[in-house]
Amino acid sequence: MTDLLEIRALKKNFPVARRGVVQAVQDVSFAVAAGEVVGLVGESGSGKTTVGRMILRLIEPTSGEIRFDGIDLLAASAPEMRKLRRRMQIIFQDPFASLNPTMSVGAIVGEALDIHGLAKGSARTDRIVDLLQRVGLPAEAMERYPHEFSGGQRQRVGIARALAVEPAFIVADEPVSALDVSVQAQVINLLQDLQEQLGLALMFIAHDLAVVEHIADRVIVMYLGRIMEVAPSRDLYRNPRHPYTVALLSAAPTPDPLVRPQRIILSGELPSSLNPPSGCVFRTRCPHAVAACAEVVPPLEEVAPGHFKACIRDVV
Amino acid sequence: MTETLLEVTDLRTEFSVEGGKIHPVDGVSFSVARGETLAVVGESGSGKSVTSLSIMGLLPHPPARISQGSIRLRCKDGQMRELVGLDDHALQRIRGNDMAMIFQEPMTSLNPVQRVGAQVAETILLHENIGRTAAMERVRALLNRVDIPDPMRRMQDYPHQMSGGMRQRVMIAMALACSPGLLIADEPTTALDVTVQAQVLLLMRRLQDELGMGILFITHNLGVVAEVARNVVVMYAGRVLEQGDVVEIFHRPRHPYTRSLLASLPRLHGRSAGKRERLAAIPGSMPSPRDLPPGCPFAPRCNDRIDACDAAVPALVDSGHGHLTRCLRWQELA
Repeated sequence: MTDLLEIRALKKNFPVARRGVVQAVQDVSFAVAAGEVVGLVGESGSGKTTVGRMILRLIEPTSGEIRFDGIDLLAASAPEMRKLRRRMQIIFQDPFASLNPTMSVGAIVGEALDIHGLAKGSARTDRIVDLLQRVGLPAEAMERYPHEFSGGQRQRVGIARALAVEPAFIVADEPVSALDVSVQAQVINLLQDLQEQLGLALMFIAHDLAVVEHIADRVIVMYLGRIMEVAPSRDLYRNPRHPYTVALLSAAPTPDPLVRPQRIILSGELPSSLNPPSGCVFRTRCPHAVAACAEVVPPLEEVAPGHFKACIRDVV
Repeated sequence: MTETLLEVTDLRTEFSVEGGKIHPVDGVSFSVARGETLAVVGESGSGKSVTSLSIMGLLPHPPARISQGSIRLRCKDGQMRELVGLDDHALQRIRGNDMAMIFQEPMTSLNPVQRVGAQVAETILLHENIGRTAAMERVRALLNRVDIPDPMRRMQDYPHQMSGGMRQRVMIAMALACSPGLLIADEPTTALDVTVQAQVLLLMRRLQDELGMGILFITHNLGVVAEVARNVVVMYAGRVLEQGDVVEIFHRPRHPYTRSLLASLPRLHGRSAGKRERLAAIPGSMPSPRDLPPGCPFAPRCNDRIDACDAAVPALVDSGHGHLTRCLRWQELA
């Protein structure tokens, strides 16, 4: 597989009045192959959402490099960027907040076609109907407004809008977190089917570890702005190598009252990203931290084929 | 047999809406014993939160009104008292003192412009006849009890200076201030990160062991239910569809809704090598309380529906050992 997206040393600082700089994302590098599903997991403050938005330049990176199809996004001119935007789309967590309530569903999906001049007249209508049917909505949905739909159906509209421009890559930022359990599975299945049928590359950002395991080929674990571990999905869940990943997996409740997982309870609080710890950012809560962990930022090192961890200890 | 703390019988909560009346909670019965956790699990629109707010007497009246049933709570004098029909003043004395509640988002239940120490002290001063200094000392001990480090200093914080996990600990401290027998926890960890959720669940369990509280735990998260509950009530569209011991519910679910819900969950370590499978999704969505089907509320989405399911709402029947299910076909489907 060739890399569709390549990210190198990506960094984002948000200045905060009088208090310094929030170091939201630090030195993040990874690649996404065409047709690949990459899960990006982490808790609040991990920087996962900021990374997703920087890829689409909805947030401007402080420094680093983003290459899409070999083109340097950060150096791209406005017309070049517009062309690239057609190839990358985003789906948001809250479909209610991201759909214009005064526009009909047909207008919402059609807008994407108009902006990129993709279809006109009856071809445009046909295309909208086709997109709606593709995400499991009836053609009549065109005439209706977002508030007339349930949360799951609204997320389907968001997906139809993203697909309108025939993208090669979609960032899905917590696409099912706001949905009820019985509806979550519908939307996950839909995303999975579309991804397979259209050969999309998908960056699936979520905090729900089981959902990510289900959908992703490869998983990136972030904590306080940095990557802790990257591995093929199965390796990461069966054989996590970073102490943070181990703690995170152990914390997830299992829907089985007869299973009592050995839980690692992390001590203390998430440090402030205004003043992250020196060296390994996880060391202040890590049960395995030693003095050396404070000295240098551990590099991501390959510990098994395709499996990388940023930890100097070899304890898990 | 442990002492019953809360007994809800055939509760029906009515809302007056444009064009009529709806019943977001209809015919709900359960009880909570001392030291026990009962989980009420359901999706949005199931009626689980309206149930908890009905018990606390926190629903706005009008439009809401308990139109049927009984809610009996064991108060500190050892007597069971009927809460339905009590006036606001009497309820206020019971709230905080005999039962307390914590919510999903502590930020919306805390006063943003008051220091947290003073807010916790207020609960104590409202219910007990002690001085301010004594109250503040109690606050320090309470914050210590919920594992807030350096409580003397944190008492001076405003809510926004604390993390979500710390704020939920403050809410728990506030709820425990007058040692209520019953704690109602409405999605208390839903807004928290999973590692913080683990900390808070551990804290709740420890406090329950120490204080012997009964906990009514409202949640949509089946993983959390499996972890905290001894007994479970599964709600859907205002009705109890299934009810029983936690192991029974997860390992021998009798209602097609419970079964489908459990089957639709992606599971950790659930994926076989390389292969990506489809989840067993439930089609459609929950009906609105304004537009309920005539029979079983789950029938329109149920794979096992037969014509009789639409005739009338099935009764909640005991399928054995107190495991209740509201399904006509439970025997043939079991």
